Amino acid sequence: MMRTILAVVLVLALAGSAALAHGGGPHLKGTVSAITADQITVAGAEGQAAVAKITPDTRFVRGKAVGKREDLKQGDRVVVHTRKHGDALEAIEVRYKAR
Amino acid sequence: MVPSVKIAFVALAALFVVVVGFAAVAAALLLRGGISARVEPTSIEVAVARRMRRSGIDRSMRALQNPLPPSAEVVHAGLAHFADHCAICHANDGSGQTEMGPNLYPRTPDLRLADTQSLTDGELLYIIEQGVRFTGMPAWGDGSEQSRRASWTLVHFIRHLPALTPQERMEMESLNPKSREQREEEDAEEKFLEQGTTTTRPDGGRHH
Repeated sequence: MMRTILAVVLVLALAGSAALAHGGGPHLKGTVSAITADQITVAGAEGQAAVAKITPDTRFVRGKAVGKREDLKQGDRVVVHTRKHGDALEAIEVRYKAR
Repeated sequence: MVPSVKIAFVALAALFVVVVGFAAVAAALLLRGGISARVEPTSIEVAVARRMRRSGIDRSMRALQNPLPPSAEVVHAGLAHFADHCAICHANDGSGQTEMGPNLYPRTPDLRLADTQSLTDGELLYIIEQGVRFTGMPAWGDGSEQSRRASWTLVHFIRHLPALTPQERMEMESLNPKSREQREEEDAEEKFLEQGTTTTRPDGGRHH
């Protein structure tokens, strides 16, 4: 009984509030203007470039299959899903067409 | 004043000071940053909350073992269920790295790690079916046999998460619930990759 009371009191004391945030980044559509082990630069249709960091968690998707960074080269068309990390963007997923 | 009464009085006063001091420190730790969910839970808070969670699950419940065999079919059923119901907070790979997960208080746990994997089958079932108060974890169980079976498939899938393959994760992505806007965006992205017809600026995608 005491343990239950203690549990209730402490859980109440630990109560916090859940919040939904909008911390995601943009989806970059364009062609690869540069790609290294650490980052990918995507040029949009109007020439603007956006850079996203490549992390160990970045997924590469070739068509409907699992891909890898080495599949990509300059000029390839990609869609990059990103999330914000400070002022930078991190690539969550890089999609490209299966050849 | 009789010496023994005096000693008791001093002891009580000291106990009062200790209790009030402890409460003040606890309140200061809990309320730092107001009620914002952005502050990082302290390690003490996390440890106490985990201890309380364990204490809140009945011993007989904790001792339950998954009655379903860990067959490919059962694990796949858990995979599909997880992708449909759980991944929005926990992520398909169980990392908790979703739009909401890192912003919940407490943070959505990485289900692949020992803190979750070391829970018993019964503890996992309880958390799935009953939820956890003051967290983002809702109670999914409805008391039916069908619900219980679905929860047991999830327990097997949670055990499988550390070994999730990239192919399985991709399959889960196709099973994740999507809004009409998300489906339209996916179609547009597919079309962009297939046909190359777009005027989209590099920063023109949807912000989640």
